[in-house]
Amino acid sequence: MKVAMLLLLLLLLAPTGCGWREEGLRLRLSLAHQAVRGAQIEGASRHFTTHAGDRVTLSRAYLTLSSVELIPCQASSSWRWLRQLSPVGTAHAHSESSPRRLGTPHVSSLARSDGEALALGTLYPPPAAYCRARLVFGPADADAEGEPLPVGMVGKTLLLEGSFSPATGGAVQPFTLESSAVINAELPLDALRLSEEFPESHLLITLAYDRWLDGLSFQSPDAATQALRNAAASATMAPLP
Amino acid sequence: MWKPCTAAFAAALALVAPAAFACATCACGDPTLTTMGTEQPFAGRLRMAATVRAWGMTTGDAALDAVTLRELRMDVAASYAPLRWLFLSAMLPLHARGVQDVSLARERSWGPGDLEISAKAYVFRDREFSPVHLVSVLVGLELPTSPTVHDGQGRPLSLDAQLGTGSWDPFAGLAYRMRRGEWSFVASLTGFLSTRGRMGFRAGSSLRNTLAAQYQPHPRWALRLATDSLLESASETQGVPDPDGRGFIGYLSPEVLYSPATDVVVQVGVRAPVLNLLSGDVRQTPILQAAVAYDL
Repeated sequence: MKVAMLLLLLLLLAPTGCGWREEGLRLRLSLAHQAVRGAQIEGASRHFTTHAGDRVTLSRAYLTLSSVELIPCQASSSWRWLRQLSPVGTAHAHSESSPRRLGTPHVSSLARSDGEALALGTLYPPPAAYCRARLVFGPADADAEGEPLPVGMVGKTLLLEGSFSPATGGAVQPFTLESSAVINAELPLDALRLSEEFPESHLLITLAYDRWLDGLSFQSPDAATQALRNAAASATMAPLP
Repeated sequence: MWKPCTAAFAAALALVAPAAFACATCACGDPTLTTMGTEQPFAGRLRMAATVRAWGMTTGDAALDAVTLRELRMDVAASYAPLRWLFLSAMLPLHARGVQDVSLARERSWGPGDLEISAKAYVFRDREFSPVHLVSVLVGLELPTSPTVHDGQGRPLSLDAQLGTGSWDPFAGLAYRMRRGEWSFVASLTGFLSTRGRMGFRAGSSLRNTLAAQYQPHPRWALRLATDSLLESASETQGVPDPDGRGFIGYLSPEVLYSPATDVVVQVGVRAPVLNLLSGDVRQTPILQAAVAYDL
């Protein structure tokens, strides 16, 4: 009798669970490429002129963005100071994701149309004002998003193929540039504020591909690294409505 | 949700009350006021208890990745001794839990947790009636009775907001109880083996220890001071170990026990974490607890 009563009690006390969720702060990140000085587009190829006047045709271009990290305004001063001690090229290639860092590598390709945004992901950061974003370009791993299998970007940060004709004249010369270096770039944000009043934002990172080959000597052994530096320096970031 | 539960609890108490003994402590010859789980058995003893706990925990860096959990929990427990040396127990936790992460995302969940059933065998007593020394062996199992909790859109809440692991977790332990005059002492050690449950999560296996001393200057009230400790291995999700939360944490637990009426024991106390050697940035609040136990 007692045991039956206990079982009855437990059954009465076993309702199903209930749940409720309220979304927090969200920051969506997207990546696009664009020519700032103008380019002629033919399928996946881009024809443009470098700032030195060289005529370039980019037939294939892939760039791996390893991570994007938000830097709160209060940390910016010390971060800039640290940056003096830690110049470009010392970033970590593989970073884990956190509420302020998107650590999934993405391979971006010029096969996408200019201005077409590639969704990188969403961050769920703590409430703060963010003054800078740190982008790390590094070698793609096997888990990289958008990794083009026929190209094989695993282990590569940058792959550019095409041809150029020097401004001084001469024959058109083909080139292939490959780099596995790690380069970072810090981009200013125009006081991005995330709070309960402003819980959501969307940032677009734009890469100006027609600046990637500026000041480059194609014969130099350092040409690929220089192109990667230019690619990192060509990044800008702006909020989307 | 609590009102129906309370009503059901009261109704069940009323249903079983007519079969009650007049005085449980008289039946076992031990006047010690006992918390649930430390009482002496005698054939036919039936005891019920409700324990309410309020606690909270924060893991991670508050400016980077902190997750804060707050919980109000009521454990509804019943123990029955079919034999003078055997106690069979069942305990159903009812949770109301809130989780907030660093992005201000909030989750709330409430409902039943994982039901725990156990058997405690008293393998040694120094004398038949009113024993001074008691040694018991405990075996039990935590059952995956907690439902997977979803939000209004039908999406499952995060693992932290779920009300149980949803796994079959066996446990076993050993306890020793001794009383001498106005003093009584309890020492127990229980090991929990965790298996994989909901969302591929497997809690760390653990060893829990209690050392308690109780002073009872009056038949109606007593003071109890205990040290509780937990030694836990790393938990993991789908084979990936969690770097936070493994290690050792020790609590100091002062409590007051009061018997307002025959066979009723009310217990109020706090478990203060005094030695936190858990890995990672894990901060636990003191656990406030109040309980009532009733011999039927």
